[in-house]
Amino acid sequence: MNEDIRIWQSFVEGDKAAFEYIVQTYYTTLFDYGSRFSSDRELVKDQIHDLFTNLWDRRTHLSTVDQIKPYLLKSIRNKLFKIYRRSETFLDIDNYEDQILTDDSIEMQMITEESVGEAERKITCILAQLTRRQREIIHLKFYENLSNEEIASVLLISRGAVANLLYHALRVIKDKWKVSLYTVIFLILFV
Amino acid sequence: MKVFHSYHLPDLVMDADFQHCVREWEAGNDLIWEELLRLNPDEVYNLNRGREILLALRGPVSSLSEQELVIEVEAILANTTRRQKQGLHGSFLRWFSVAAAVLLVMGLLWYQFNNKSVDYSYEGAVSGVGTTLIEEVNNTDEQRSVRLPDGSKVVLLPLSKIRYPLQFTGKNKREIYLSGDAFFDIEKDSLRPLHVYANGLLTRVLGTSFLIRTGESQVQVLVRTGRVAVSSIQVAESRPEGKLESRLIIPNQQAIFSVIDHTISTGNVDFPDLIKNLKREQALSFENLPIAEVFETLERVYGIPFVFNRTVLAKCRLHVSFTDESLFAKLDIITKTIGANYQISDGRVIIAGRGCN
Repeated sequence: MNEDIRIWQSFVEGDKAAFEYIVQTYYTTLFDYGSRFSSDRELVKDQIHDLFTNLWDRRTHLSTVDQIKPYLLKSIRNKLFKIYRRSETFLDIDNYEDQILTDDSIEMQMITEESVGEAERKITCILAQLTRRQREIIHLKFYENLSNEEIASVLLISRGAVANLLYHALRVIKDKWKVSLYTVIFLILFV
Repeated sequence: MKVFHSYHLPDLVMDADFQHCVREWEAGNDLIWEELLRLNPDEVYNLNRGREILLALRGPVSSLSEQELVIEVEAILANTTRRQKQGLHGSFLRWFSVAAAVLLVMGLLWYQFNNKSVDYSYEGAVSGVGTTLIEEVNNTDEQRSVRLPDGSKVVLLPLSKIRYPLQFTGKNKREIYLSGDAFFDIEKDSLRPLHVYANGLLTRVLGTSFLIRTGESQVQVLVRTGRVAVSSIQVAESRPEGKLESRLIIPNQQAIFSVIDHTISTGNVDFPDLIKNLKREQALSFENLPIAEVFETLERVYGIPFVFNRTVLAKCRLHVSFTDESLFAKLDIITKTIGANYQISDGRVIIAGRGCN
């Protein structure tokens, strides 16, 4: 964590190398996270570009950041949501959790993609049955390795809510995973 | 080590100690995992399932290609250097720099394509490298250990060679070149994946252990721990704007790359033990022996059962001597000689043939 503060401090003071380090380190993370909200790769790239160039321009006005990754994730999330709020094909934030899976979501792409391994395909099928909110939390927890506290700061909810959502998501996963194991056993026995 | 008595699966998956054990297991440290199972004899099923779920939740590798990353990062850096004030120029400059970066990448690819596109061999690939490379050649008939500048270990098999730089200076990758067979145990560096170039196949890893066997017509990659991405260099170069198409392989899987048509196929490793033992290929000679004796010898040497019809093949005899061919090459030669073919299934070699006169 101290390392993050130090890097951020150098960047705020105008150190180009520190800025480059931040861009290099977090670009892919931001892209993967942003892709969860839009399947339009170019749009996501544009928003990340804006985010970083704005950070550089406004660096002297920025407050201290002790954890860079959650800070950037929160920023890109806000930016993408702003676009959705403006656009017609808008994602209703209040009912965001209940939104059903659309065809172009990452999950669907993964399921149809050939190069994906069996376990990944399986987990993707299961994840597709979770709410968007639950999937987002799973992404932040296991793919980005954030702590519950960091997730809370990205999603602007309490730590308790994060723990709760995670627990419920994992219970669903546990149950479905069992079902698919039974399916396998069924296939072996009867086919 | 913790005792996970009557843990619910969600709690288990979220537990930091459990996650640590799974990470260690993934890195090839089986002892910690076995210890965990020993301490929790009633929870073996749950622990295994928890591990399976945890690994799956880790998710796929990013769909962002390295080229896209380079272009976008360049664009951001160019834009923040040149632009003094925000305004209309910003977006123009952004597109200008994106265009410039795209042109640069395309130009480089075109240059590579026209200058050494056909030659993906060891010598060909090495000749295009600007920095000085160190070469290690193993002309002995024993395995030889090589330490890379980052501490990674490479076990060079007989008649193989490898080239690597004095220091890995690349910002976002570590590059090495291989001819022949080698086993790699790579130090993890998430910012700089290791790139191994072998006969037109690019293997990318963060930190894992795996085996590469380079042959004239094919390159085989077998994974022991971690994850490995393989891609055809020619296919990648022919699509400058597209993403680097990679196949992901995991432990006990293998990828076979055809040097001739640049395709990659993946599948399970039929003999996981082959990777573990890394036995040096046996020099064997058979002087006009009945085929059954040949198979029995191979069975003993490689520890793999052979299945064949003794009566049908009774009249087949073999006269051949092998030096350092792989098991598969040996099988190819033998089956061709006796007009049969072989199949590998469930870790057994199954020979099918109509017999000899």
